[in-house]
Amino acid sequence: MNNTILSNAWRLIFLVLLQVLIFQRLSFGWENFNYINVIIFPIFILLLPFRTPNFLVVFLGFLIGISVDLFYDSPGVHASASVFMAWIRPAVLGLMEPRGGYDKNQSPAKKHLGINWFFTYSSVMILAYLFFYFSVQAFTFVYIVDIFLRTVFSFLMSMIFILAYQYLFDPGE
Amino acid sequence: MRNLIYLFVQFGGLITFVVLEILCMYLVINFNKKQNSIFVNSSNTISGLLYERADQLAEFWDMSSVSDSLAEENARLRAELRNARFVETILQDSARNEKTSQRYTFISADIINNSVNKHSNNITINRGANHGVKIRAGVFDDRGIVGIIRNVGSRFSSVMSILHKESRITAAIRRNNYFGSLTWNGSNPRMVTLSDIPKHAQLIKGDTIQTSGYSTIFPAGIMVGVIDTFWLEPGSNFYTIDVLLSNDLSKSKYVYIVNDLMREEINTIEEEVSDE
Repeated sequence: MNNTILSNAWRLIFLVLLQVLIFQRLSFGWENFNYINVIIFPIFILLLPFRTPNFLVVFLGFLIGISVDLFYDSPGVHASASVFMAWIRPAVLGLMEPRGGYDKNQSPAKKHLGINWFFTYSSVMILAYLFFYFSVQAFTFVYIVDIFLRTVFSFLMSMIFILAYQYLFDPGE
Repeated sequence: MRNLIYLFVQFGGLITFVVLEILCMYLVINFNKKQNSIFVNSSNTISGLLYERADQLAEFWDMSSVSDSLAEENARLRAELRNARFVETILQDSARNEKTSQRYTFISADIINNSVNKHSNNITINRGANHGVKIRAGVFDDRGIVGIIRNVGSRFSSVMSILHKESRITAAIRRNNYFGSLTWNGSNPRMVTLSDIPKHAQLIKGDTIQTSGYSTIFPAGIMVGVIDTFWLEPGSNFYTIDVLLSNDLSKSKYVYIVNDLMREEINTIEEEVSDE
């Protein structure tokens, strides 16, 4: 129990640092094409154990979002998207529940549920995150095409790093 | 109390979500400049929309008189521009004490008949000799040149559009002043051809083409268009340049007619020379 809390706390700090120290500077783009942001810190929400109460997931979403916002100089923008993503997590997990159900003590990670499952799960969540994030960033749907482009390109780039993270830090059995 | 706890366990996620999302939006709106301005503006927009609609309705009724008076005012203001004046001072010690006199005035007019889809397109405008229109005067609008007056009646005039196969207008490249003549090949109403630009001129796609001022038709500096493509015909010393017109003639409505007050003098002098 304590071990889980501790490891998640470390992961929170590690991911925030990773995001703001490395991936914040890694927003790809060239003239007229500044569409790629690499966002990886939502892995923290993705990997919270199944038994985490819903309100706590949402609250932790806020916590990590606002921490990243402090460094991005955009109070509330990441936080709102990450709160939204944390809120839909139980629904997404519910839809994707395998026949045998989840082991409540585990995390929804690659090593327990396989790469295909994790890929679908993280894709849905990250897409939701990015779409919400870029919408709040634009704060108007006038630039809806722009929002979609940013979402798609950032999604492709972020997924590469998120899967890489899974392979590096949560190796299989 | 027990029910309250039960409620929270049941809907804790939703409640936390709503509360935190409201907090986030509060932070977004209050601490981010861009989002704040959008929020403030769109909350004004909703109340503003009503006023605007009411205003538009009222405006609609006196639109035509407003646009007439604006067109006249524009014509008067254009006559004040530097390129409409003739510099009288010969020695220019400083820009301030140069003496100028009026060279061009402009007459505002409405297009009442127009075509762009024939080989020889003509435009009819509602100004004629009564208003001071003279033959071979230039016609342009706020986006670029339109044509040249070819026939003047007492109240109406006919304009040879730049989209006319006999139309020849001198135009120059703004960046380096090389000039040539503009013709139309009769197909694309947005594209004209500029020829006679010498081979040694440096051209860049997107260069602005404007009127040269080397005639009594147009003052210098009226926009014509931008270079779209250019090439050298084999064996030729001159470029052929496709120019994308800045003006869409199929949409022109309000135009200005150039009136060159020094035209007689210039023409007399030039005729004397060509007689020799």
